[in-house]
Amino acid sequence: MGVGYSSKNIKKIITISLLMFFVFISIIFTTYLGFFQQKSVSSHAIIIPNLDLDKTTNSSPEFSEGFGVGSSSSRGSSSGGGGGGSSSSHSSSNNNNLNTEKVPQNNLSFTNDSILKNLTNDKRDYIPVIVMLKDQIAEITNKNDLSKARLIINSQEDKVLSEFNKSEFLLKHKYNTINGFTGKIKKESLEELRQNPNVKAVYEDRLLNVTLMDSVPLINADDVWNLGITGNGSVVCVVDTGIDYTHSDLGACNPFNLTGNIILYSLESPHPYTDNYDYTWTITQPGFSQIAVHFLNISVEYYWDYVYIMNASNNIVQSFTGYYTDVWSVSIPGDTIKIRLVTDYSITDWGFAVDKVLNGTITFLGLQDCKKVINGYDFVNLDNDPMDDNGHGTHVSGIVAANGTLKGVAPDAKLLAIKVCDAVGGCWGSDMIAGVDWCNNKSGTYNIVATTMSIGDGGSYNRTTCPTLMDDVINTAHDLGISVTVASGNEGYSNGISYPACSPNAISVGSTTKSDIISWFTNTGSLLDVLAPGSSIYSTIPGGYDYLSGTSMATPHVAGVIALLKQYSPFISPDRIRTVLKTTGIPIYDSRNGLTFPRIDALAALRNISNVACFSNSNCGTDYSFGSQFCQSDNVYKNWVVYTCNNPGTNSSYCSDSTAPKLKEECEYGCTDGRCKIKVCNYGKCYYV
Amino acid sequence: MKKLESIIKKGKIIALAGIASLAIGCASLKHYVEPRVGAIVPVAEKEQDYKPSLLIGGAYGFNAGKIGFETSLDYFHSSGEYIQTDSILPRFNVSYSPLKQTAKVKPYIIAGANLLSEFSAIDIPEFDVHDKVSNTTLGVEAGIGATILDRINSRLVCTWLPTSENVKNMFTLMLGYRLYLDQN
Repeated sequence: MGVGYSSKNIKKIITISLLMFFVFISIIFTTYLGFFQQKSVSSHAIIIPNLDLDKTTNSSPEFSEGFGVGSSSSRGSSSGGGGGGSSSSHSSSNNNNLNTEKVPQNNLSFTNDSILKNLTNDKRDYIPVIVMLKDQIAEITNKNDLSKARLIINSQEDKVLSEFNKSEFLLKHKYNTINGFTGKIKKESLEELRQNPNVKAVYEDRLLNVTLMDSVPLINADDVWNLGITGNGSVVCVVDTGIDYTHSDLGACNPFNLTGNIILYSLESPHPYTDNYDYTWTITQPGFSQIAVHFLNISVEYYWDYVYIMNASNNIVQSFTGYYTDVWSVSIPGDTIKIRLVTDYSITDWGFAVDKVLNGTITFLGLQDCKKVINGYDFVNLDNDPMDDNGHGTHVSGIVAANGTLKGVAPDAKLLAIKVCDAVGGCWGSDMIAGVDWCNNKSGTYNIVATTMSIGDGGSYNRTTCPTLMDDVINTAHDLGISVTVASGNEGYSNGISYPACSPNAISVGSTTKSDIISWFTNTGSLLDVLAPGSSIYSTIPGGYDYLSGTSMATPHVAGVIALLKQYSPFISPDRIRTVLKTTGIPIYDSRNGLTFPRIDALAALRNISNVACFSNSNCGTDYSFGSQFCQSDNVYKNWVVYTCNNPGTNSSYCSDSTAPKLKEECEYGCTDGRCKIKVCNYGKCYYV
Repeated sequence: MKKLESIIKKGKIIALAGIASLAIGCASLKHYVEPRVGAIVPVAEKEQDYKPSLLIGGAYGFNAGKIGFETSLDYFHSSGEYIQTDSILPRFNVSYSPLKQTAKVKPYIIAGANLLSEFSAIDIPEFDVHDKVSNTTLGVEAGIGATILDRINSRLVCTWLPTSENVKNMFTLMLGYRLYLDQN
């Protein structure tokens, strides 16, 4: 019961308050005297989850029906005749209700357990599978073997496929450089497929996710450019969400042809639009047989807000996120086209404005005449237009080879755009294999030096638990001289990396900050090969630029460096490249597991493969080796060891010791024991040790 | 000197009067102890990156109607490049519930002072540097919270460390469970 307002209780309150304050002061004193001092304990960082992309898991790309012949590229079913300007036909099956199916949600990681054995409780009529056949041909070890191998592989694939009728197995892709194919198998026929003597393994096809967040000078790529090595002649395959090849830093290509009549039409969203907005505008033009709209401008928050193009049946045929000007939608059959603006709960932007509609078609002409992105394929929509409808692949590509306002690691390298991930970043394993297979297959046409995949399954694997599903296609790439760089994943694991980064012949890449500290999100472990900058990387997105962080951003740095190295030394093998990158990198300590990993250094790697002692002073200097710097005591900062590169870039180059004194300011915090002091801070105070 | 003593005396009187006036209107005294966990997120870092850290701690306090007094002690561990730090954070807080309270949810605002005591081990293997240092930083804090079902206490506190050389602000998110000692 209450105590009312008696003076006794007021006194009690005052007494207790004073007592508590006394306790507080006592604690302060005791802590200040170190009474509670404890020994350091090992780090236990909070793991902040990666960007949640689970929304991607209930999507499924369309499957081709029947067996057909030839490669997957012959089975393209263009959805809308291509697009104009910045985007084209990218129907995201996630957004297309007609083509959506449920995938088991419990575990999206590929494991060797996902080799299908027991589906007693599975309620699906058809199971998406990846089928690997037993090798019956000699290995593909060089590009001359490709055409012969293709014939043998395809005949072996056809032989197995011929044992199933069209309703039993719905073919999706037949691979060209590895012995296998993918599609949907009727549940009742699965055991028959597994028991086929030519079948090595049957894996369930599952969704993986793109791994999502000033780095060029950090890895000394700009020093390599100064030597005239800019990636010229090298081609990098980007297996991702596609590339915005219309971006000014990625070639500004416009491979579209418009036919028909254009009429003026004015339609605008609210400016700015509001949060949690979801509205659909319908444009109907009686008499039109094909209709497309032209956007004067689209400005929506990248990644979180979307403008969707829908047909009269409300099926989404295209999506835009980010910033675009002067861009056509896809052309769709009929007289009606719908525009839907969907926004999230925070941050608004200008919206969109339509100024024209087209009664006609927009034809994609191919990328063969483009300067930066010279070819590609869309394995999500099964057409030749790999336009990025997500932005991730464009960001990755900019890091590899942007050449404009921004410069990537290898600005003169060319790109092949392989779209295997849909508009929300979901990537089927079968499409990823098909993407790498496509690159392998094109290695005779283009000088492909690297295939880069910023994709992971979110798992944590070591050598014994790593799934083997993509080993064949990665091994083939390796044998063809193509390095395959793969992101280690963003789950913050310190004892394992995700799949397919753990594949033996993949170069797995983790992330560091620009301060050369392990990024908190990066997966590391004994299988991790190298680190590269991946925190807050500014690169291209559709129609603009943005910062993103993740091992996704670290991985293309490595692909870019490989493009540089292969320009200098075209015949260097993927194994040598991996060794060089590992041995010449700056060692970075991971306090989570006590392991040290190399952060790539393009100039040091180049020097290693070149047998040239030095290309520039920085090859000789102390910039990269903290321990070799020294100063004298008593705060007299002189006699720094400064090495000079003599005859740079030639076989007679050598480093010499210069005695030229450096300025006092070189030791920012003073000198101790012959070295510069290091500044170390806890929350409240900084120490100079 | 006499003027100063007079001012101090007046200050004491005002402080006591303030506490007394806050107590007027109180219904009952509810003493509690509260074990709690949470996360501490440093912001406005100037010199060195720190990740969020887990926090554990305990509090003793009492409520007198809309007013509450609390003293607490929290512990957390943080690690940066070359440095591992164990920190304890004693706090003294006063809370007030300006809003309408229900039986299920009792929101409140809180303000107070704290003293961040850090015990750090510096290890730079390259130079064989191994050192132990400690320092204490005074902070003031304010925040919001709510008790749910009179037991579960959640709180978000922003701490300002005006004299810090590195972390100027930090947020603490805590979740505790109150165990009442008595109820007069």
